[in-house]
Amino acid sequence: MKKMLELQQLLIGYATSKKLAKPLMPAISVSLNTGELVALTGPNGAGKTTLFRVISSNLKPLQGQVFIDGKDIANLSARHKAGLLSIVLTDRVGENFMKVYDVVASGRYPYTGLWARLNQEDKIIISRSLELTGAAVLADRLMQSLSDGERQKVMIAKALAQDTPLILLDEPSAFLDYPSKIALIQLLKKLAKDYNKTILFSSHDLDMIMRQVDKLWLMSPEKPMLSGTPDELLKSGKLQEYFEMDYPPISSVLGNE
Amino acid sequence: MRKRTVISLVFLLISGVLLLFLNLFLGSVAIDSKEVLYALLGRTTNLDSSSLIILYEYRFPQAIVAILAGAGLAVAGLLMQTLFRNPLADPSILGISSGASLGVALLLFVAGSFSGQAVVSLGWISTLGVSAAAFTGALVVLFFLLLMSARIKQVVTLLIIGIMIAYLTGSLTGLLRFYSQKEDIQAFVIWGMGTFSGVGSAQLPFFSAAILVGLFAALFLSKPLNMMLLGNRYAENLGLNTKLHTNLILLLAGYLTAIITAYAGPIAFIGLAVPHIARNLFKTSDHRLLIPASILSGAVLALFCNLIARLPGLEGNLPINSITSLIGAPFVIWVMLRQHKQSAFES
Repeated sequence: MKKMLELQQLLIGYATSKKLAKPLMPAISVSLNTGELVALTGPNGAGKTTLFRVISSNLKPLQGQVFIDGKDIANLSARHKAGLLSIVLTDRVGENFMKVYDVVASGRYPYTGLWARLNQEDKIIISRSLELTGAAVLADRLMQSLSDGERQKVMIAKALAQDTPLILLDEPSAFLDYPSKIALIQLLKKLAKDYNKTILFSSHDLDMIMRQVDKLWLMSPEKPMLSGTPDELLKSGKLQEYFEMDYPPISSVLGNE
Repeated sequence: MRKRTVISLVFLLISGVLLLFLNLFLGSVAIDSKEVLYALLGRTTNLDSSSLIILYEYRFPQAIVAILAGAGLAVAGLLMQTLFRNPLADPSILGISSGASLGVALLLFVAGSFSGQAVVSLGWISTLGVSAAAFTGALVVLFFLLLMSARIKQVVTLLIIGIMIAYLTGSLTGLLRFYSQKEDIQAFVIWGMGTFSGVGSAQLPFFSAAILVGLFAALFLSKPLNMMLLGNRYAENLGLNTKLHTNLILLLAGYLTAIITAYAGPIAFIGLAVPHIARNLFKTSDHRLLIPASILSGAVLALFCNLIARLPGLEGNLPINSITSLIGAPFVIWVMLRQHKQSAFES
């Protein structure tokens, strides 16, 4: 199987100066194969968003390399990267009068010219992306009128229109109700299995992702990142270990004995 | 094209042409409209020489300056609102026009205290000097902003720095005014009121070319602006060099504001209001349409304000700055209320 995403000896974190680089965890060396659906999970503050920012070139790694489709992203142009990786963020998109169709069409920007004119092929890809995510009925709506679930579908449709082998989603289920969460994970699964997309998403919804994903990437502050099937990580006890935190005893928080 | 787009475009074009002619006919001296048309078409007219001078030396340059200044400020405002993703941003928000004011105040103060007499008594040199001082002041602030922009990561930090610069230059201007000659203070106040008649026919070609170049350049930023509307991270992911384009947008908006402020004074409100009017009129967030729409709406609003400021029966010109806000503010409130009532669907 082909490696779509590979992290080699990657140190992530924030540096106040070059000497004071403080990595969030030991070096990460993992990879994802084409068509895999993978969830990145772990307690808050583990570094999930930081890792996403590094993979999507929004933040430089302290050390190490990120390879997408065998290419070191440090050597790729922004436009080249736009054809390899698409992202779905938690940021709200939708200024006044922004139409759903236009947002999905923006996925074609890396392929269009100076005036962003859409050709026949672009239009076909856009309507297919809308169909696939079930957002076709929303095409003429304005972004500001959508619910959180609908908005999520539109942003996934935008990522599909970008036509990249790798899709990154930051907490896509965060604002969704239960049925929408189920629908979302089934959509992601379909995209991975039927359309051969490699999908990495972060999530706290352990109960739901355990049975659906091919692999889990497990993070916890200062611990090495683990990669494995949900079963392996559960049976080895690592899942529990990584989520265990030193909570203060409840009685002392509430103030009664 | 959508029906709404066509109707709005036709509406703006017709009112623009109509207002342009009214700007030529109406004023404290009435000129026969038929004769004006003949003169403009290059046919022989019965107009006497004084009417021709009024027409060619005053009204025509004034109308052209109104059109270009209105269009330029509208585009500068649109660029700022998109860059900062903030509906309250306008060309003056980063202190560029306050920089221009400081330049003028500095000139009046320094020249006044060295020569011992008011700068305004120097005639045409003072007019040119004021323009140059305003332009220099605006450019200094713009240059400083670009320097800052290279150092910072988040665009909102730049916004705050810009607002601080505006306060800083504003207070320095206040101090300088305090020590200036009485006549110069009056000149400064009048400059601050804004006017479309500050560009003589000799400088009109230069002013026009400078603004047209800026407007044309803005069109080429349509796609990057559309990408930035999604937020910087999405724009980056779609292949945009956000740092470079932030600087290009700053540079272009600053350039337009600096030139217009140098010649017409710090004209308020058009830059803030017109992008909202254009968005609501055309119901779009697409800059490929929004930039031409802002150019047209800005020109029409400025021509209208200029006409009101010069209504027959009024002595001389009213300050443009008061007129733009007087007409613009109620209009924007009305547009916003209408938008609020409409359903979320495309009409």
